[in-house]
Amino acid sequence: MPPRTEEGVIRIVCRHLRDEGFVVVREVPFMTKRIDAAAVRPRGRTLVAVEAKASDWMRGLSQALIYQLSAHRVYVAIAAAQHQVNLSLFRRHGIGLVLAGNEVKTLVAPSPSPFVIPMQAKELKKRILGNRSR
Amino acid sequence: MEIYYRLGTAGEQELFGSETASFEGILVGAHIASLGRTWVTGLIVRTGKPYHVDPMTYVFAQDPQIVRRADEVRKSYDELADSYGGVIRQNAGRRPLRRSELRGNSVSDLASRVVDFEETVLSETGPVQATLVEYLEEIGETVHHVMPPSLVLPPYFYAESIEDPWYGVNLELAEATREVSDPGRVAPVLCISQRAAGTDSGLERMAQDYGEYPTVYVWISGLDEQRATQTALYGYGKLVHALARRGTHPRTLYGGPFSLALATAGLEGVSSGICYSEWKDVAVRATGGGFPTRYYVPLNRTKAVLANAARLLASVPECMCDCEVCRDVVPVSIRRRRPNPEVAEAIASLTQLETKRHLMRVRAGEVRKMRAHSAASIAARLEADARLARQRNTHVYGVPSSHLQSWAAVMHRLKL
Repeated sequence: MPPRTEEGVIRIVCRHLRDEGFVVVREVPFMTKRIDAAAVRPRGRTLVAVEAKASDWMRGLSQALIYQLSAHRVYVAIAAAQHQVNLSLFRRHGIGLVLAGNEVKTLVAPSPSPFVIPMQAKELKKRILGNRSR
Repeated sequence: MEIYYRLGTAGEQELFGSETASFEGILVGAHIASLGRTWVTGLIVRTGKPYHVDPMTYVFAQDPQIVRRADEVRKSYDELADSYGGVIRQNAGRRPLRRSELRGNSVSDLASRVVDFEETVLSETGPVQATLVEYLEEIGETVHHVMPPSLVLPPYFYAESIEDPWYGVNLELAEATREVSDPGRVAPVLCISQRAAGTDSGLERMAQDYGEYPTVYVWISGLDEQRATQTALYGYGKLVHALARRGTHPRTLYGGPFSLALATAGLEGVSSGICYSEWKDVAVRATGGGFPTRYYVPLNRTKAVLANAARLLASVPECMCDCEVCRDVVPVSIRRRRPNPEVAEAIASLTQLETKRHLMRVRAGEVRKMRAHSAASIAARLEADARLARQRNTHVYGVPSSHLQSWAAVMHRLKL
């Protein structure tokens, strides 16, 4: 049964990331926004940010573009029930798209963000690894 | 077209003082003048700018919560109610003033108290203000003497339509103000709903009733230029045009970039806060929570939170602004690179003061451009910018542009 809420979507994605060996933190403050989930491997350099959307993938894409200022790979995670997603728009902007259902399926792989501001990335990493006990 | 910025907080003094070339005058809410008369007088003395006082009387006929904080009336409105006295003082923060409470003597009494307040609240003759002026002279600051406000705004209340009894009260208050003040300086506020501005008969009646005043302030409650329907914007434009054709000089109490375009319909002045309050609903209370720092994107004629603006400009350098503030932060030499994280970093680090200075510079430039254009050429410019914004997908970055197309359509429809 695919999740119906953003909470359901993000839970599935976070579990998946943890299984892959990432340290994951939810609701990470970034400028005036909050990243739904941010992750990095304990000794890794690549920062991952995820925006979850149960509907309105376009809003998710807008949010995800901003996260490219602080994370190297950015995904929008949507519930399997969402239709008519414009995959080429995701490809053009280098944003990844994953489908959260019984398992996490990657529809579009993200490109490394060329927009990362080093100071923002450092801050994000600190926020993730500084919260490992959560 | 004149820009009169609304004074928000004491923290904006530096901005008003350093950007005097970007605006013509200052609009001071009576509640702010009442509570901050010393620093507001100081600002007027230092800038030498003309000013108007918005009497803010409408709030006393709205939900009392608007003027309350927790269990008491906010100090600024409490002091204002003391100055206005009478039925305002009796009801402030308790219940909305009723139309039936303003008749006969209470109309003329309120009019003369409001005139007296506006004429004297920012004078140099109060003991604290006099000391301040003396001090500024002593330390060698340029001091301009405070003149009375260049316009006097009669007390006013919100009217849902021309049939609303408050509409008639406002006319009585304007007339009573003319009797106790220099008639040439009386500028009534036409504070109405979008519905009231939506019918031809209503517009004609308003133009007729207010057309005899040399200046009229228009406030269409809740008219958010960016989200308004074309019908609502068309009504606003027609009202301005109808007033101007009657020979009056219309100004707007809250307005943004669309209002600037109405210079071609005869609008002579636009007021707003600096980077906020380009529209306002009479029934909504100020939250006092402030705004996140926002950056005005000139192409889209909209403000975007800093993160969205930074990300947009990192990908779409055509949206980069060329004002002095932005040139200081983002050198021209690095602007054309794409992708451009340096631009994003520079924009993301802008302070609120810098984004406001940027807006003031850009807005002054927009006004200069409007002066040289017809309604048709403004519409063409809006269409061209809407096209460019669409091609660059600015909406994907959370910076919308569809309103530009609506504004262009309204400018065409107004047939100016």
